[in-house]
Amino acid sequence: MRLLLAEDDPEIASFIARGLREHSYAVDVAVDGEQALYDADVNTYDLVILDVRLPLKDGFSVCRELRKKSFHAPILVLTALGDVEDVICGLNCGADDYLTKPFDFPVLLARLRALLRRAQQTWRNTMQVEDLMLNPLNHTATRGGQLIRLTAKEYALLELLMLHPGEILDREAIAQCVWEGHFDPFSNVIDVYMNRLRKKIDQGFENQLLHTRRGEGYILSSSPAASRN
Amino acid sequence: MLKSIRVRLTLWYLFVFGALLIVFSTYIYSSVSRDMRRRFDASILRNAQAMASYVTEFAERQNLEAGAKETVQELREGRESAAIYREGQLIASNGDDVTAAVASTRIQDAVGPDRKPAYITDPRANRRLVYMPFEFENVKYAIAMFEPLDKLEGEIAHMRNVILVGLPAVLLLAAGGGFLLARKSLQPMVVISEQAEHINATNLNERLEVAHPDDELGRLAGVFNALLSRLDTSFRVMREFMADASHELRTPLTIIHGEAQVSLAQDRAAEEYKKSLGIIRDQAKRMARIVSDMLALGRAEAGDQNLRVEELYLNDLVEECCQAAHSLAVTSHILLVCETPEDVLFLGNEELIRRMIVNLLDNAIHYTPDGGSVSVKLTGNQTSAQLVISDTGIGIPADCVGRVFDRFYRVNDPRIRPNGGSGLGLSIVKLAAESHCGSVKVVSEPNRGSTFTVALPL
Repeated sequence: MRLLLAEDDPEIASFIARGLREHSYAVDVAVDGEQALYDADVNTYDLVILDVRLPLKDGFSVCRELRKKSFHAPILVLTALGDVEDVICGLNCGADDYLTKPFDFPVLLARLRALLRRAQQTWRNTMQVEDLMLNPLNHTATRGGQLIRLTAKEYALLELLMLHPGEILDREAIAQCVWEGHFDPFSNVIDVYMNRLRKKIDQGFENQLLHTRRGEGYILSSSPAASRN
Repeated sequence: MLKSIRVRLTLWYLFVFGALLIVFSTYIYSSVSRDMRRRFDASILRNAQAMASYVTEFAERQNLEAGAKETVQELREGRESAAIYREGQLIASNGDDVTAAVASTRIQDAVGPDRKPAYITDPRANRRLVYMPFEFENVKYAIAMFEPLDKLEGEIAHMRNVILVGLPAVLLLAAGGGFLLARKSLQPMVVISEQAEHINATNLNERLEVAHPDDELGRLAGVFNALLSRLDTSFRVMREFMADASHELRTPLTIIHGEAQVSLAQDRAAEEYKKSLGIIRDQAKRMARIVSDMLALGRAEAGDQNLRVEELYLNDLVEECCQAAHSLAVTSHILLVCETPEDVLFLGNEELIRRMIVNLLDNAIHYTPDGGSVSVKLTGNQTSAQLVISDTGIGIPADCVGRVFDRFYRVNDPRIRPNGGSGLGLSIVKLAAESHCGSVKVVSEPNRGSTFTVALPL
């Protein structure tokens, strides 16, 4: 999951980004409204967190412009402005949720999960492919009832794969969603992570789920042939 | 009940009107009744005179004594009593009651040497007695007659009754009229107070309706409306200040809260904890600074009466502040020049003036890049002192110069390093200068520097 955080106060941006990264989100920080619009144009984000009092362009205008450009990912407004009028204005500008500062970090995480769940049209908190289950609340996976411990990046990769079961995901898409900023396209870091992930979820099971498509990418599926159609 | 102006006005009206009416009625009563008595006396006298002329006419034909007797006898048939005396001796009468009355009232003694008619009221029989002397052929005669007072008393009593019944009735009508009048004239006040009652902190933008702006009540409503306008403005300013202040306080609070939550979410190395705690400490300092600046601003604003004023040497204060700022200037490689004359005695609040100088110096040093210079110059004459602080800093954009003294206003410039300021520094400078009847001005040119000039009357 890749998020855009538009926040001009460096200290606030710093702890939010740190906290989100520790929860396996890839986070880009924009320090003003114009940069936020530019970043949203250039990159693909699963969700945007917007401050309102931003330099150059305020959060409400950014929100309106994003929606005008049919940006469809969820937008969460995170601001110190807590008046009823501000909340109404924010939601009317196209935001999906509104959280006032100071806020509880676990609440922010829960709201992000809720927004993402709604965006992906899933209503359950756990994802499942065959006998592999993934729990976004505690970032653990189980296969056949057996607990699998995952690092933050491994979790992010597996989450991406499980959100698109049976679909081939190329390296570029994976890099976009899991890694933030500029990803070196010649790096083999994706292959390294994929191999570690395959070991964790497929080792000791007859039915292999994670497959490599040479020259194409990766796919999570019970039968590699099925997805060819 | 007595608290209502309407009732009190009515009572006053009633009191004044009642007093006037009583005085007037008493006057009417006494003068009319006196007049009636006088006319009554005159009518008895006329009867007596008529009788006297009748008796004297008689006397020209035969003797007077016989005439007198005949005359009184005739009167007896007319149910009138009379008696005729000659030299004080009764010569004729038609009943004992007249002579008895004359004897008992000693009316003959009341006739003076000028021999004018005498009147006396016989209280026992309630009648009016007249004793009219006259002369005939040099002999002194007198006629005594009386008339019952019942009819006269009856008329006077009737008049008194009319007054005694009419007076309360008129007073009652006057009270009613007064009440209505008071109500009519006080009605606009009631309307005003009813409208004013509905205005509170949430709808201060509402105003009283003014029907006749030029009359007394219209002017009152106008004054009230002007007061409301001022109140509305100060409320709005206060609300804006509160909103700004809460926003300013929320930012460090968010950082402290969030940084602590994120740090505590998992186990970390000691270095990471140190870094987080450093951030939390800096933000706590920032909050403390905002709170203390807000307090200073509030205290200065609370008014001159709370400001402790003492004599101080402005030049010493400026030099002290420059010395304190020296180390900060040295670390930023900024040349700080301080120029003060001798003995500028000033009457003011030391804490506030010091804060003003420190804030100006801090700003000048903070917004001047390394290698620049800041100059402080104090000049003074008999009537005023002038403090000029100029720097070779980044300056203020032309469109922001007018707003730098606003509370929580910050120039939006990416080159500005955050200094952990509260955004209130220059507001305090302005208020400090103004609370000492002075003023502060700024001239600035982007990339060349700014000059702040504080003028203080001595």
